[in-house]
Amino acid sequence: MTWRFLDTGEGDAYWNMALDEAILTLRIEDKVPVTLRVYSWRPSAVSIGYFQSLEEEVDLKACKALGVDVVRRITGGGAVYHECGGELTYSFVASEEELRAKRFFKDIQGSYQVICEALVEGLRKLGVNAEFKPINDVVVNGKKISGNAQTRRRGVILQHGTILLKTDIPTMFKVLRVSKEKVSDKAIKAVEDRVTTIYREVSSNISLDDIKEALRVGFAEYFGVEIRACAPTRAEIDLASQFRNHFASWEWIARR
Amino acid sequence: MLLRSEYKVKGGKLIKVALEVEGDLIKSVKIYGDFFLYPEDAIEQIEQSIKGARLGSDLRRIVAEAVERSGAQLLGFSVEDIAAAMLLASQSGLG
Repeated sequence: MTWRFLDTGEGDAYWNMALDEAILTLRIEDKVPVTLRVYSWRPSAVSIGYFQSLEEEVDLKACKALGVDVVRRITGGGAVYHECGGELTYSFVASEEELRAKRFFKDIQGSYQVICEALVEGLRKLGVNAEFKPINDVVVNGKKISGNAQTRRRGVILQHGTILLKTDIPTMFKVLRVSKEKVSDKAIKAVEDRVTTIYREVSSNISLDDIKEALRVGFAEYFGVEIRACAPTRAEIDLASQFRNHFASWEWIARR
Repeated sequence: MLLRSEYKVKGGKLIKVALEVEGDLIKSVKIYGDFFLYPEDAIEQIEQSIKGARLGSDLRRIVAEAVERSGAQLLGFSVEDIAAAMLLASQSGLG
């Protein structure tokens, strides 16, 4: 069974999250194959984890002033600043069963590891010496380059994650609520020491297409499958259009 | 009275608790954070289970039973961490 690669380019926060949920829903109904999707965020946006408090994590005034959207994910984990042009996001949808048939894992933590190792395989194609770091990070020499989060529904896993291309930590500190002392030059330096980026590890000349292709090949080799580039189906687009309203609703965003 | 705490879990996740209390009666609780819990909506069952409990009661046991009932799986934190975060919040009102 061939798996599918979707490059859906840039989308806004609500569309991006809606399409991930649409793929998950249609995979549960067996209407689409196992899917690796890559995408970016325009405008820049903050995504917060399912369990996070909106008001405690996000400076809504700063977001508004800077034109940064805010969305709540259906996955747990932390708040992420998705800078337009500063990162690449992937999502991967497969049932636990079909994943396990390719790469054995025991539990939820194991499934994070397996999917993150596929990502690692892709990053290594670019010459990035990445490795999985439990619970949900991918690091290079101990510095975080990717954060990942998954949800599971009826035996199907959706894992999505962000891969840093470059950082804009001053803006990140403006839109995310961090204590005053964290905004100091020293604190900015501290974050810069804890994270790294593709551009820093490889070169800022690397094209987005090369990174996407490396991920596709990395996942295909790691799982031993063919992954073919496709376009989203009509049903996916329609379902995502419905879900988009939900993700853009204040009721969902400010839920907790 | 609203009691709050931030509890750093070993391994890096952060649990934030907001307890609304009247005397020693817990009127409501919210558990926030960057952890993972499957299925996600089990968090509401866990929060509900604590409603009506007394501050001095065995909150760990109440949470453990709610987790058991909901079939929830925790990643990045434990029942003990939730209880510890609630205890920390309840103590924040003492000083």
